[in-house]
Amino acid sequence: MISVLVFLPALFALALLCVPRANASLLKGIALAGALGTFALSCVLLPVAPAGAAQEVSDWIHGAVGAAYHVRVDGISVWFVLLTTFLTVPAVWAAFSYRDLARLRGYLVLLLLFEWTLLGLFTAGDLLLFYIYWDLMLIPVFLALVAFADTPSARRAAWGYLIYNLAGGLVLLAGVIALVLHTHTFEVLNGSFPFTPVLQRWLFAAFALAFLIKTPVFPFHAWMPAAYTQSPSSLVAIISGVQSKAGLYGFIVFALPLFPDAAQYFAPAMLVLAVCSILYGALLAIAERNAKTLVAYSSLSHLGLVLLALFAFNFTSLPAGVLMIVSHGLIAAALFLLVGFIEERTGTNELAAFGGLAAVAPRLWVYMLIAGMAVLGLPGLSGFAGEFLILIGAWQTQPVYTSFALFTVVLAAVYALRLLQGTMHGPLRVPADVPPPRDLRPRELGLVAPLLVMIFFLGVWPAWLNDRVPAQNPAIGHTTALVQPR
Amino acid sequence: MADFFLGAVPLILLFPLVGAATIALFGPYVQRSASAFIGCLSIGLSFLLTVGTSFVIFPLSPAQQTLYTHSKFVGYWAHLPPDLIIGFRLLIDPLSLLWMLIITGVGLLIHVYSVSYMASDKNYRTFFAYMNLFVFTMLLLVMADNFLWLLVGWGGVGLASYLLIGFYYDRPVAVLAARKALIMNVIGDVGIMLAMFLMYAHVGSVSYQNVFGHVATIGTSALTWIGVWLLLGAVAKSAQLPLQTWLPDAMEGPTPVSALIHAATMVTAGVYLIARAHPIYDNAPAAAELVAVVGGVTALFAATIGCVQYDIKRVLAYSTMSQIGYMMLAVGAGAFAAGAFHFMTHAFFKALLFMSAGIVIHALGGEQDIRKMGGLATRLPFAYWTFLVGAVAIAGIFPFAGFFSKDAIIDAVLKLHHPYLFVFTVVAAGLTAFYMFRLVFLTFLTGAYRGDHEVHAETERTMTVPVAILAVLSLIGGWIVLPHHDELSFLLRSTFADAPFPQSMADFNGWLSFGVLLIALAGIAFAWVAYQWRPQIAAALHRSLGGVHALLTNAYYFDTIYHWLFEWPVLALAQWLRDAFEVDAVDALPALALRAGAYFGSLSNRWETGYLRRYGLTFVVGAALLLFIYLFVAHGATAGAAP
Amino acid sequence: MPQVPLNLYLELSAVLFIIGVIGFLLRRNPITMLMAIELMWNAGNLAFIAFARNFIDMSGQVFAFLVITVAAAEAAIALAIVVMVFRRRENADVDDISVMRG
Repeated sequence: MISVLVFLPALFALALLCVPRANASLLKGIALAGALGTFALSCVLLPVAPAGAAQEVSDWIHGAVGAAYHVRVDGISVWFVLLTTFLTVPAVWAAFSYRDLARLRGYLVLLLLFEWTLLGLFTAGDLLLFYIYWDLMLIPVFLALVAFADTPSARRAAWGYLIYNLAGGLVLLAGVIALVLHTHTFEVLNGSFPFTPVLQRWLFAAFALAFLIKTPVFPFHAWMPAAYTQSPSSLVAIISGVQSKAGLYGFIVFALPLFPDAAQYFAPAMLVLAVCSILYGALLAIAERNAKTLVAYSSLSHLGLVLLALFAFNFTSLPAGVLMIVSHGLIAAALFLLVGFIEERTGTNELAAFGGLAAVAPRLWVYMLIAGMAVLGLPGLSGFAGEFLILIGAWQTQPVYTSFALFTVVLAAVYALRLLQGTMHGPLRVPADVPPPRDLRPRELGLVAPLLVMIFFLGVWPAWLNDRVPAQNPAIGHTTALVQPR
Repeated sequence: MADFFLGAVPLILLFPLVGAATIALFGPYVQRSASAFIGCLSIGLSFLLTVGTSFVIFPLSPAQQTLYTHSKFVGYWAHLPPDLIIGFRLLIDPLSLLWMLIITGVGLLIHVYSVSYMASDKNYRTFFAYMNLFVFTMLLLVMADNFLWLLVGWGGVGLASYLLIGFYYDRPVAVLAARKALIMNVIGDVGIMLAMFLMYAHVGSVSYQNVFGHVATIGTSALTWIGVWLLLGAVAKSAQLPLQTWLPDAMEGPTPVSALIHAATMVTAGVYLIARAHPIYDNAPAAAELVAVVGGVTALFAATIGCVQYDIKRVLAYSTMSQIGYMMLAVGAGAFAAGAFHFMTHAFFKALLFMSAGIVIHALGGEQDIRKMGGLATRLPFAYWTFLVGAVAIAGIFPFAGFFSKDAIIDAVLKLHHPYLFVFTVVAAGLTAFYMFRLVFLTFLTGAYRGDHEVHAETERTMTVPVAILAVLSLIGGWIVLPHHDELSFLLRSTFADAPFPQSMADFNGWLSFGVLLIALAGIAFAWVAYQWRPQIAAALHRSLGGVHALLTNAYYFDTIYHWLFEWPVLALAQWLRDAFEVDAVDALPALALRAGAYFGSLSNRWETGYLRRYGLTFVVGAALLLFIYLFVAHGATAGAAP
Repeated sequence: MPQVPLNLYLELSAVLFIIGVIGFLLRRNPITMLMAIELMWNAGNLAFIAFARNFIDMSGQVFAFLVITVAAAEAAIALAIVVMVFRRRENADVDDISVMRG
């Protein structure tokens, strides 16, 4: 059942390859059906969320070092799976407006393959499987950037993305090998292994470096602005919405439970990185002049907050971190898609080149307002719920770091308003060679609407998600201290 | 009947929300007037239900006056370990009812007023949607039963205020003003969040009931910090020092917005917050004193600036700031009922002043500069008389509403034994009378009309009727508190039952009232002398006090100071990080690794000659070498090591 | 029937291997070089089978089959490359295609 879910997008991708390129409507139909079908199937997993885990294990490799084909979904990974399937639907739907029809098929195939690798990663219960998907998911993005954005700067961004992340993957590989030399199995999730403290630190450092690069976290984010900016918006919606959570997922499921002592040892460093990310991302977003890059930097800031939640080690901030991950996925995807719609209309995302779109596109304005306010952390929207619950939890154990992180609330207001007002307000301006922008079409309204509905829903009732994240999950239990009120 | 109103309490909150959603979703498909009708109707229904609920709640005994509504369909907002449950309850008690009455009542009048004030605007429907959204969030703010939902309402009114300040979004000034207002409000949100962090740490809860029930268990220093952080939220929302600079700029919004949000309701949310959190301030005297000092200083500070402004709405904005300073002073002094009382009367006369000014602005085609007005009393008599009522009321002239409420506050400050604050309030009272009548003289009297716009007549009934109602309320609104018969603090008695400071305003200090009245009259007289009888006096004052005048005109240069102290460094830092650090450090890290890789690559490249035989030979030699090592070195070592 | 001793097989294997190495190093014609490589493969195979027979262990024979398969694949690819190079350059001297260096 879980395997079916994981490979379903790949099957649909294969099906797409059997359809002639020219038959655009059939291609679109199959791709959307694939995304919707995967989402529908993943909803079946929702009931397993609060209780335990669903898993499937088959033998894979015997011998001196064992590995199994082990897929599993538990109360934490189910949210990553659902986020993936939920965001792929609008991403695939948004890709319909890809400008070159001849290459639409290849692009849709890559999107579905990307979903497959992500689902594989989030369901992997075996370290070998995890590692394979970890590097495999670079390929669809790389190919999409090289072949489908098709500009010299996009190609540069693609290589930057690939090399930087492969370097991270290499370090992870070294860590995995060193780990397996001691455990003699890739089935590490349910066992506890006595590592010497020094070894534990080295292993944690290797895992953490890879995870930090993929998230990315300051100062390992050099690949991010270019890759996010050059990607087609439907792709970056998934990269930022889902793929950026792969590293955080790795922390929650592998690094923290496997190396609890090393996690404690490195916690101050990780917290410093988290706070730096939070503030640095916010400041860069304030100075940024391109709408898409601005959203990218805001991502850096918000994911730093999740890192803070993980390494503050308490039962409030950890589930809130998952909430924040889902919420950020929704918000980032919505914003990137909206910014993409703007780009389709004005031909640019440079804030200096256009503005005042609210005058001609009132529906776009309402959508931008909701997404922008969610980034700003307006109470009542999901961004606030995640942020607040993380901060109130983290403050109990790490008041100093959290106090620094609080500055981001104000800085977020500055850059969110820059984005919102820079694109929407002021006198109407568009580049000279562009016709007056049209308002959002029904397809565009429809594909972003579910994201906005969820942003509202999670903002008004975060407990719906929060209560389904097991605070005392065995994966995170070792490192976590229960906060008692004084 | 009682059960009906108590059961319908959630509807009070729901009607404006449904109204806003209906206008937003269906507005484009119906007539403009239908949007306005929906907007007014939803607020009207809320008002009726609020009045009904008041008639049910106020007669009850104090113990029964606090009512919680329970949501049946959803559990709670969040459940944090060990037992922090943030629920969805609504709280109805006399304090929130007072605010709800003003929000829906004055809100209804201003909605009706807007029907014709905004009639020519192209975003007419949007305006009503935003206004309804504002009323919803403001009601949420005062009906919340915990600090989290208060914060949700708090942020919501900030959003509505942002949207309405920037309502004319094609004007860059309005866009900037909106941004400034929202950012300053967010600073306040951080304050409330910090206060909640402390409450969670010390009480494990953020609901009013639990926090206020356990104030005794929180240490004084923590309690003081909670009070200070709440005050940060309050000063941001209520435009008190040092976060006051956004309010004058907020006057870029349409005038009904200024009347509703930036005079009558939203900016008093800070006062509500302090009054609501009074158990904290009762037990943290240092925090309470800070509240009083902030209020007192702001009252005087804003009043001095109001004396020199020329934009009619900006004068009113500074006057709002100053009057809210009075309210903050009252709640800081512990006289919560007096603060609430002044909130109520201020809502009447300040909304009245804004709406009368709106009639003038409307008639002059958008002109707001009082130097281009004058002599309008004969052309706009209705606006003149109603504005005059408002001015008399705010100046504190007997028997208008402002006299009673301001008197209650000054009386409380006198009991506080805080001489500076007492002097501040009295001086501010005189200044208030002065700048309001300066406004009256320059706008409506003093020679002939100086502007170049055509003066339209004031005929729309929807504009004049609400103004007239407010004028009547500005006269009689203060009579709820009369000497020896204080109805208001009686109504509020259950909320402030445990406050140490005596809440009753019934013991009337005749000499004090008379003295303050004389000072107000002196202020009016001076305005008359300087602007009506001998205008050259004002000109001479202006000349001789040029430096002071510049200082006041620029609002003590707060904008400039903040620009260089906060805005500029942050932007410069951000710009430096983007242009220098990002390129030289962040991008250099992988570039360095790449360069190192390329260097080692070039070293090994020398062996790559392309001659296959060379590769083969290297391979053979290497293999032979390994074999040699394996056979003789490694084995020999093992053999030698073996015992 | 007398058993052929193991070391005779191994010596033959070594001789074959050395002939293969010398052939690979000295010849320039790629076809001949491929043949030399095949010689080395088979020298290895011979050793495998000899050991397998000597120790009565089938894995040596299994490995010989694997080597034959790989050798066939390798030869096929190499020959294809040689044909391609010959078509382009009318010449198949390995020293002349040293321009392929990285």
